[in-house]
Amino acid sequence: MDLITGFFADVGSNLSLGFGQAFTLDNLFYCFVGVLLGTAIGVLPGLGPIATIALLLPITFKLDPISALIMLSGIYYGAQYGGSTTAILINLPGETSSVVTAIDGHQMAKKGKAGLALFTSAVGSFFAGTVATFLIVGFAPILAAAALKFSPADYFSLMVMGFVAAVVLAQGSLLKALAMIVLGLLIAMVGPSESGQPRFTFDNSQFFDGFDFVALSMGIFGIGEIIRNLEDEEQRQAIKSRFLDLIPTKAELKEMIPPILRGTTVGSVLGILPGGGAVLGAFAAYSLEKRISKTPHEFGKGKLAGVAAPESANNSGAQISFIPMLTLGIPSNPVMALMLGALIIHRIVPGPTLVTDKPDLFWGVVTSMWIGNFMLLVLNLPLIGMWVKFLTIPYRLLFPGIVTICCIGVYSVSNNPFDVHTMAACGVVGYVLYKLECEPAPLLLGFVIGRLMEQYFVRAMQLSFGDATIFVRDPISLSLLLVSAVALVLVLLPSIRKKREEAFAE
Amino acid sequence: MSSTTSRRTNPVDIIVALIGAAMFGLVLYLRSIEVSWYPVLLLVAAYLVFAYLFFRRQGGFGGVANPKDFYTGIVLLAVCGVFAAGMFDLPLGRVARPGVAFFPLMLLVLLFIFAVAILLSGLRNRGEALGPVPWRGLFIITGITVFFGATIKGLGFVPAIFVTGFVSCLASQKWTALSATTTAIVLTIFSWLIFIWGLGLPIALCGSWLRTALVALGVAGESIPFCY
Repeated sequence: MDLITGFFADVGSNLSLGFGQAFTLDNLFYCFVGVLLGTAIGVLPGLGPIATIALLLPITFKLDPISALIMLSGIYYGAQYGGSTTAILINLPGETSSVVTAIDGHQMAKKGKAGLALFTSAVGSFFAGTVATFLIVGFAPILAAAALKFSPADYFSLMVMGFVAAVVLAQGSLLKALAMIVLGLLIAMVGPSESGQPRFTFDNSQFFDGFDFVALSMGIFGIGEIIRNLEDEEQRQAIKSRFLDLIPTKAELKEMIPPILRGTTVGSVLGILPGGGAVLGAFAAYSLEKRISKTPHEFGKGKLAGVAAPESANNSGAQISFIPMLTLGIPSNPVMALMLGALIIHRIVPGPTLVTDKPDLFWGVVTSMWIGNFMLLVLNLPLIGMWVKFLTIPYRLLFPGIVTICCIGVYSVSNNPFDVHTMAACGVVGYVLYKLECEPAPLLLGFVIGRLMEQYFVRAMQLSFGDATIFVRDPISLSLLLVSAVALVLVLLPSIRKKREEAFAE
Repeated sequence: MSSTTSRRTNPVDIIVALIGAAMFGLVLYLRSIEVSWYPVLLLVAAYLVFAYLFFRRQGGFGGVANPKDFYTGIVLLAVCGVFAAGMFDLPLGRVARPGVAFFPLMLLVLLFIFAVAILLSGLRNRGEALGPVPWRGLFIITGITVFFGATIKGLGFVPAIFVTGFVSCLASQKWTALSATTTAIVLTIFSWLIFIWGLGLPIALCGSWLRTALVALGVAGESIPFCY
């Protein structure tokens, strides 16, 4: 009994400390500006959350650390919502986690239900954000302690599990999806190794820093997508939408609640895992919905649950992925890597001691997440009409803008023309992958996690003195690998494979 | 994208891939010996022979049945070749102390196995053709992106954006001079508003080449506004 009351007392004091920090007039203002700017830039086609945050990062340098981080997380939520908006409206996911949203969201938009999809996304995100905030406040210290017990071998197996999840969920051939992940991992190897020795650079100094993530993702998802759309121009321009269906009917509201609840749960559970929590959550939530749905064939054709679940999972996962970043100093995705960089510029080094050393910063940021989500809801629901208007722009007028913004966005990350050329090359790669029916999402996932996965692999091998059986002797690692193996085998079983093909067949 | 034939993964391919993966796992068990290229090359050779024999028993090759799979295999094999070429001078290290080439080598072997399996499945399972390629759009969009990267420093923000905006419009089949010019002007103004005025990106509005040219032509003096 004492334990429970003590727990709630902790939650209470943490929350009040956090709200005390976040509810100052200044910080509320920065949070608001961050959300507004993040959405405004993030909703621009071709500018995903990563580019948006990178672009807005310099503005925060003059602020004090707490305000800067609060504004940055506001930008993050705004940008993420903006990314979902472009995913839904023009099938241009700003980052990997909204790739899933694009599947059904864009189909809904094609059917004239863009407003409903955006509403679902906003409400789902807000609900998931609220739950995730309370989860963080209540469990951050416990979760951090548990995550600290993970050995390098466990981390490695965790990432393997993430990949298997992505493969099982990818469309088309399993072999190709596996190959794409390995290809992404290999591309991540280009550049400096952990010891600083350059790899696969062919003595070309432009490759010494490796490929820029923004250039790679913008090339594949921005430029490649434009080339692909030029195949059938007519079809693109035919999309028209009604704007008045923003407020859902009672039936629709009823339809979206269970997926939001399930998505939030899945996202929260997977969000703590370093290595693409938000992405994994979105993918897993989508597949869960599809598996338990009575009408799985409707997925991919504009199913409401196909937007509600991944958007909720995405947001709760994204929010909870702050935990490994703040408590372990491990960024679980490129966005968190940017946040980590921003923190270090403010001379804050995240690590296990951050919660105890700087509780005002930690809890202030956590509570401001909830405020940021709330502002997002208040700000964006009235503005949905404005975002939806993007659809009325004919594609032939839109794509020159996307090309231009992609160019400026990639160039602005480090004022390096080579990044723009990388993007051009990746555009061709993206188109070729589309032509060959290879999914680019697993490639991007592999690319993001590549370096980290190598580090954990090397560390695990060093700790076990070269004994590869460490991955199956460690109970946590073994169970993670078993889960992956079972998932893979299940998908390979003929009967289920047939179902999967039916499910993905358009 | 209605084809289901190209989506099907034949169990045979999976078996081949799994056996390949198992053989690859052997490398990991070469514990506490210096890892060299020889067991790896042997493994690759053994796997190729195995895959060839296996597929001959399964009915042999009958030309390119599924171009999408076949060319995926070819592309991936080419990628393997590039990475293998970049790897020869990197230290592999020992299993207990993996060198910088160790993890990439694992990935390379895996990718090789997948590439061969995909290539072979492209020879065996029927699938649809690649379909037409929008060459015009492909060249214009890629070309203009390369152009932007090459000239953003020299020409500067305004000319680079204007040209990029104008030329990208040509990628559409239905472009007109008027719509392309209007789009380019609107894009230039909007980009300036958002990125230079709004976000304050440190990009020169007109670049070094242009300034040199203007000064040389005597059109302007040394200090042109917004040029640096």
